[in-house]
Amino acid sequence: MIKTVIMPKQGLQMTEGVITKWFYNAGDRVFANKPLFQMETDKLTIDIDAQCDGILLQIIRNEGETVLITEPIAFIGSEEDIIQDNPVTETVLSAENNSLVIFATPRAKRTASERGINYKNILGSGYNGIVIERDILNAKLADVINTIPPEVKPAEKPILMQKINHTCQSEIKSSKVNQPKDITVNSAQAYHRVKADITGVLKLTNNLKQYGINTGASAAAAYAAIKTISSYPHMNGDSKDINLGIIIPCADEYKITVINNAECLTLTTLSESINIPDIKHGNTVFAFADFGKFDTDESFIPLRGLLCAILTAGAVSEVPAVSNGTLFLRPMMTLTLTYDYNKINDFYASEFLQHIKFLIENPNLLFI
Amino acid sequence: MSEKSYAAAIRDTMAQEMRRDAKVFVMGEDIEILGGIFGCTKGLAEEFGSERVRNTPISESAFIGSGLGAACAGMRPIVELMYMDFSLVSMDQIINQVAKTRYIFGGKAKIPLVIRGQQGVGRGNAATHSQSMEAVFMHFPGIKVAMPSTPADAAGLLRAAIRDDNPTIVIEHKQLFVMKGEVPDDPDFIIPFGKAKIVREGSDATVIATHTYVHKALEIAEKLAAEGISVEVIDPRTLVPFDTETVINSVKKTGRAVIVHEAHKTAGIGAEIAAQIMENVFEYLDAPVIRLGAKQCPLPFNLGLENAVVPQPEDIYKAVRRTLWL
Repeated sequence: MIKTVIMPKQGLQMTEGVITKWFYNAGDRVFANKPLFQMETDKLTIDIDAQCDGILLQIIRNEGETVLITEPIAFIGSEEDIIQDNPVTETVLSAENNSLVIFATPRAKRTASERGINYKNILGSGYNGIVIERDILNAKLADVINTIPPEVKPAEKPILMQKINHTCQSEIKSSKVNQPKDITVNSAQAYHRVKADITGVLKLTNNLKQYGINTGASAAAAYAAIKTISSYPHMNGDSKDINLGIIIPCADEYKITVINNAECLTLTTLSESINIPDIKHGNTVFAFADFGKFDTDESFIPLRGLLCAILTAGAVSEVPAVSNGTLFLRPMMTLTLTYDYNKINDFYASEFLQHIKFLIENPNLLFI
Repeated sequence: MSEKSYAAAIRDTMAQEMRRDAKVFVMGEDIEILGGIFGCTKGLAEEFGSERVRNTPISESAFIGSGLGAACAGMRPIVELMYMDFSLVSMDQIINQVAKTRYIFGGKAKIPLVIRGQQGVGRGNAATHSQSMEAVFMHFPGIKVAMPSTPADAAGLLRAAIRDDNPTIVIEHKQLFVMKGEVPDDPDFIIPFGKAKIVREGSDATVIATHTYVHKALEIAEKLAAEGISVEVIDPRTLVPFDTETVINSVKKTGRAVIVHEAHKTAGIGAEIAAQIMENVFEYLDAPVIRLGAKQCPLPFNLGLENAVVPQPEDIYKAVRRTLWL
């Protein structure tokens, strides 16, 4: 993965800095927490450490140049990222920058989709960094091409799995096993299903709408899952970083886009990322699918690739309930958790799902 | 082909049409003896007599109304407005009568009326004699509108207008009257309405320009070509009907558009063309469409100030580069 080195902000008043020295040349190995370059502002001169180990792939702003804060100045990557035929272009640089919103002109987006290029990985040469068609046409760097998803071929024989018992209503299905190169085979999967009362969530989202914040019950479910993962780390491959996969249904398959470090997102930004997913590829073990918009709750999504579990938010239906002797309707959302039972204990998965349900039914707890 | 001025092309076309069809006649202010202030009717009175080359009083509303009546009655009048600005005093006749009579009579009344005259800056004629009126006529349905930018276009479009059974307005430009160019001698030479002209082909940006700005855009296209930027210049030639297809095909190719006209930028024809581009080929755009037009102030008497108000070639240059994010 290629990391972008940016001009860091050193102090409140700083808007730009001058690069005074690069301690390495392009192609050199650099080390995390060891000085990478020296810069000065009108107030200070400082050595800045590299944030990660790797190869200094390219220096884009040279010594003596004045650079605005947050602008990219170099790229660090691994050996695989070393660019073979690297015509030194002034405009096309690749970046992996999740916090930056990348804009592109309609024509650039059109050309990018025709060529299967992810314009979000390209640094635009238009005003304010907007990606224009020229940037797409000039895009030659290896990582841009890497954004085309690796082809996933299904294995020939589906592997049947045994039935396991569980107190919770659980079903186990045989799954088609995908066996792409270097990706673990999912041999067994099961699922649990619960219905959660979303009266509170709907009240919350309606309240937020008054303040111009648009979110929905599905996003709240994803948010609840992210909050719950910290107590159930196995669901996320025991990793602290939650790279949340978002399932995008296609004709007969599905695609996964990845939201890196989803644990840092607010409910609003998560909601946006789910509703308008950028196709971004990466490794993910826990994924979320919003099937509510398709008004279906019998959704069973087979695990693929490295995925350990998928949480599916299904349709909302109104279910009658009795309280204090009166009959009323409660909006209920179906939540389905598909998981790999070779990796995750079924009690564990069930508890995880129950915890999500609990959070959804008590949405105020989401903000603790 | 023969080389003649824009004014001579207009005069010769009217003379040819008057010879061809006895129903064609001209009227306007000072056209009989003086031959019009720009000489567009010079010599016509000698050849066709004062019955067919009629001087009118200074009452535009009256003589445009007479033209409409004559057209309804089967004549093919060409009414000259000394300045297009004067259409404002006859706007009720033009918009409420001329533009609507065919429609109101269910198409039964033919209105082969031509209103022609000049507009624009360049002579320091000040605020009430330098305006550009095309947006008004493009806005109201019922009148065809032409804006020739060369002698040949002036001849071809005027002939098409005279032979059209619908009311037409041919807007000329005062700076163009002295412009010389090759004009076909063919007495049936017609440029059909609704066919834009790609004046120069290019691949990087499209400039849509009218009247004098066609020539200024060509000049800038030449300058930009030296920098390796290939500019396509389109002259719509007629605003009603407007050749949207040529414009959008060009923008599909280039992805960038600049529209330049002398009229005020605010609610000018550039706004209409820009909107049509965005409605039709938004996904092909690589930059916002840029409009260039006169600043939102009355046109000054002083020539230097006049230039400061209307777009200059340098503005086109900068705008094209801006669409290329340069």
